[in-house]
Amino acid sequence: MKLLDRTGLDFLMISIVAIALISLLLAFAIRVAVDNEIKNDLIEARVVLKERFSEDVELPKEIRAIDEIIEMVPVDTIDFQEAFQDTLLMMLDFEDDKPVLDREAYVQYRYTENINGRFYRVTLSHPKFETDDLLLICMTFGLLFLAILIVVLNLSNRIAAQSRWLPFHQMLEQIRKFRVTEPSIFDLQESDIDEFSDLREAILEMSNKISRDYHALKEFTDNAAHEMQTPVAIIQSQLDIMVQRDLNASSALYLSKMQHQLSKLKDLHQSLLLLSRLKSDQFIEREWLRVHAILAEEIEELKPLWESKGIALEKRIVDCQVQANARLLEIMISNLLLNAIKHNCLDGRILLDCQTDRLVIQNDGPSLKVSPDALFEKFAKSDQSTASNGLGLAIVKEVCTFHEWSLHYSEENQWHQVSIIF
Amino acid sequence: MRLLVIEDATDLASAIADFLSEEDCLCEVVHSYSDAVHKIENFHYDCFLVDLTLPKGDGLNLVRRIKKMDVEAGVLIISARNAVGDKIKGLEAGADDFLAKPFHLSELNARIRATMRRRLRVRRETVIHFNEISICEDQRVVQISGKNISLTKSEFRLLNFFIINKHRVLLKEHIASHLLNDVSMSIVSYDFIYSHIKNLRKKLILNGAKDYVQAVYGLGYKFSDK
Repeated sequence: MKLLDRTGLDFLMISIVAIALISLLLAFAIRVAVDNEIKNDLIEARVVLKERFSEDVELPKEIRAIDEIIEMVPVDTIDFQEAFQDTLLMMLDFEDDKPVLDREAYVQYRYTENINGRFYRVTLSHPKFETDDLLLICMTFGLLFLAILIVVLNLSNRIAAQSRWLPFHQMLEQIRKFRVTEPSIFDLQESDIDEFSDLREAILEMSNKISRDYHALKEFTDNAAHEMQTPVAIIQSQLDIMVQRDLNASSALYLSKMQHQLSKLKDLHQSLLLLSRLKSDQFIEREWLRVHAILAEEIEELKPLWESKGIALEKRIVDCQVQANARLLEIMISNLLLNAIKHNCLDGRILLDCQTDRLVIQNDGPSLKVSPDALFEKFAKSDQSTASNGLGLAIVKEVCTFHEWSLHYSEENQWHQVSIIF
Repeated sequence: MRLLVIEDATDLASAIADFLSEEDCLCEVVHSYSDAVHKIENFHYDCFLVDLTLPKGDGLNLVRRIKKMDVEAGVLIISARNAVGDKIKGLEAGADDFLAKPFHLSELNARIRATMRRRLRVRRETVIHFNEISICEDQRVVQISGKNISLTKSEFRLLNFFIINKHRVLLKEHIASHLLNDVSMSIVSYDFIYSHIKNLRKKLILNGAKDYVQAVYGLGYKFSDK
């Protein structure tokens, strides 16, 4: 739910409750005010009545004025206190020309009056239905007015919010586009709203810090990697010289082991260097490449390997072009092929299926000892004892991620399938 | 052949000189930019090995300077910076080849020979001889006592590598990375070279050559008549 809808809804709920309370209060206030008015009217009427009837000798038993019904009963003594009371009177009314008895609410004012030396019990009755109508009209208009006010406020708030939230949406868009590897700096508009300008400053500060840290780390990795190249190169050169000397069998064995480990170290170093550089500017350049051609080249390149293992290579290759970084695509295809060869059986099979939108590499090989999900993780090895550095497929995965290709793996009866959908 | 090695890592430079000097090759070594400039401007060399990252100066400038002095000289860059961009810049500056550190000295030797062969192609015969075997890399032809023999691409590369590095011990790793053009990342075993060597040996002997391939302990092989 959007913040705007949420606040709008809250506003509406509060408004409804508030209106209900206000209307109750209003109704009560009007009621009280009108009742007081009626009572005052009745008290005034009493004065007028007394003046009038003081002149007359004979008094009628009941008089109907415009609103009020005046009832006068002669009594001997003052037998009760004067009082106001609400009551219902049966009144004759006409509905569709037929006489109907109707109950109607009245306010009655009873008192005893001494007129010309005689006591009268006077009852002044004033109808309440008029004030009920008044109340109804007041309430209706009041509520209508409030409802219109709420709708108008809500709508105008909504419309205003569109422009008021603009800086927020712009910031959101820029954060989405943010890549730590890309040197682009945030271009955020200033806002006169405190929260947004605070947010803007926080984002700028954070992104600068992230970029700074990232580049520092990257530079460190790069430098460290290069600093390592030279000692490794020196060790290799000394070893190369050493094996030319006349060696006895046991020295040769030690040298052979040293060379073996040095080769592993070099491979590991190269792989890590590649992984760390994968997202740098170095591989940002992309061009249209012919996958089938690169595949054919790599097959040829690795021919000594698969040939000597007696692997039968089957190809189903059609023209396939993708936009990618040339070096990375080569490395990826090479790694996939190496993987298919390395984990193959003797006299096994490799099936290469290259279609216009995908590359599928299938091969024989013993079942995995690691979970298929972990296969593409760094340093995931199906067999800890192998000389494999466990980075080949991690590189494949990173290259796929880099190009936004999807990578799938499945295995059935020792028949492995890795597919990449461009 | 006179060769100048411009490399600031002294141990590496001396190892290179030591390895290459066994051939018909006269090696000199300099460790600094200024010494390199002095040598380039005052002496003649057939080939230069240039390290790109020197303490006081850019190796690329040296490459340009060499090319200005003698356009015919072979230039090989050896660099720890193995980025595509560095490679392209180096080749644009006039280098013939680019070899990333770390490398095998036998591979370096093969690259220098290949560079020199390309340089000399116009003037000289590019065929290499080893007793009764002659090999022409450009045309991919191998002859034994004047008779053509047919080899697969891998066998040809293997023989070429052997003859260029004759009398030297070649480790399994050297041979593997040469055969696979250095794509040998995380190879499980180097067993594949045995079958190639076996096949090559068989073909050479069958066509009347002597068996020059000698196994050296568990280390590797040596192509030699000694």
